[in-house]
Amino acid sequence: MPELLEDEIKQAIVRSLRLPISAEEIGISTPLFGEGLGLDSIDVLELVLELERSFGVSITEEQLGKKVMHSVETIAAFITAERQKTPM
Amino acid sequence: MVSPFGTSLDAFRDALLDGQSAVAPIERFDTTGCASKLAASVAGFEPTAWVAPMKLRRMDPTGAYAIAASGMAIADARQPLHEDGDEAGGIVLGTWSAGGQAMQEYLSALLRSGPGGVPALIFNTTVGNAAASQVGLEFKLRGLNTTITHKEASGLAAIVSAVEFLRQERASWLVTGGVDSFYEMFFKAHDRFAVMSRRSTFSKGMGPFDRDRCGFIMGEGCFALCVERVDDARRRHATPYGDILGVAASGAAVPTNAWPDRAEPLARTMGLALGDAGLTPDDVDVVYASANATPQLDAVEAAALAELFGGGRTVITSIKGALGECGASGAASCAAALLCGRARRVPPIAGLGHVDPALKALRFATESVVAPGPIALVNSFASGGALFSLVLRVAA
Repeated sequence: MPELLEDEIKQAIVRSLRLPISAEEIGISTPLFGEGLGLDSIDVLELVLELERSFGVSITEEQLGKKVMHSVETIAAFITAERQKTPM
Repeated sequence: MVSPFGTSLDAFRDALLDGQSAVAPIERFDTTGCASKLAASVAGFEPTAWVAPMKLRRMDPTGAYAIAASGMAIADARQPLHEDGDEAGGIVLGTWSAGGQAMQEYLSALLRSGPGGVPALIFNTTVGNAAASQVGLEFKLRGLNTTITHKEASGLAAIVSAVEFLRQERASWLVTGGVDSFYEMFFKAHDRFAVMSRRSTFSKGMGPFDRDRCGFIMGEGCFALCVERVDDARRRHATPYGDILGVAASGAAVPTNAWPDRAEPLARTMGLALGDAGLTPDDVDVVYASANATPQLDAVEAAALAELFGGGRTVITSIKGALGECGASGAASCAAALLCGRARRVPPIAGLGHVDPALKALRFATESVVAPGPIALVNSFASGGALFSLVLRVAA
């Protein structure tokens, strides 16, 4: 269920980054960095760890990270693709 | 300031002059199993009024306290902040606990969940200079940025150091003072050391210099001052709270966790500060003592004070019955000396019921009294033996 996964990602972002907003306030295509949610490079470190902890996916290359970490939507797509590679 | 009496300078002064104590049972964490259960906790402080929520999530309380108190001090001093930063302005901050709270959380996560479970978000806050660095970033202070830690004496150590940096012309102006925030591991370690009072409620008999004193009570807060050379202050028509006339730093050469055991090093430190100010003990109107209700420290400091001020007119007070003990205490004493001094009053020693008969050669402030004059000596002496004294003159 893609919507459920996106909700889980939003909750993981808010929880791990201690954001002063609710998960519902994050749009699935809102940019996570810069003028969007305002996250920065330290948040990336935490978010990479959180994706490993909560979703079992690893991001080991910087270029891949930049693509994946663009928004909730791109993170969900990455997790879905990784899960399809490795049957659960 | 961010204090157990709130953030208002007037409220802080009035509470001290009224003899109030902010000491109360700890609510921040569970003290079950602790022999000591009291502290003077910061009250009336809303961090989001001073720090953006996105920044707050990466700070421990010392960072928020330091930014708030520094911002208040800079505004009060009408020190202009430039949009692109100020290379002539800096910060010298004293702390005993900064970074510790984040470190406690970080290590707890590491031990519980392994390396993958640590919160990367707060890693930058686990270091002792985090609070000063966050102040530098917040106000774009691109000059000197230094953190000094000497346990209980950290705050006054920072102010003494800031004065020396200004004398060396290493900066045009500095924010200086002390910050601390007690947290569970820090408090419980001191509880195990059995150095804090074990009474369940604050009352007479628990104050500094009392015959029944039985250990200090932990405090916290941030007390920040803006300091600059007199000529610079005059040039920009500033209205200072007072002048720092002399400073001194010395050592008692005692083991790390031991209080000074002889009066001589303390008397020498006070004498050095008075010499630096070009004054003698007879010139001192008020002493803000380091005494914190620890049997040994109070007795040794009283003996040193008696050497310099025994039988004289100098009034001796201590604010630690009101605010507890922490690494910001010396800076809090400077703030109290300036604010109460401007009201021409001396605050009473909260919790002082019966003066220790062994210390009777001194004139203690058992109630709020008129300040005999504008010259105040501030002491801050740490367990481990770091000793600092400062002489100031309250502005007319």
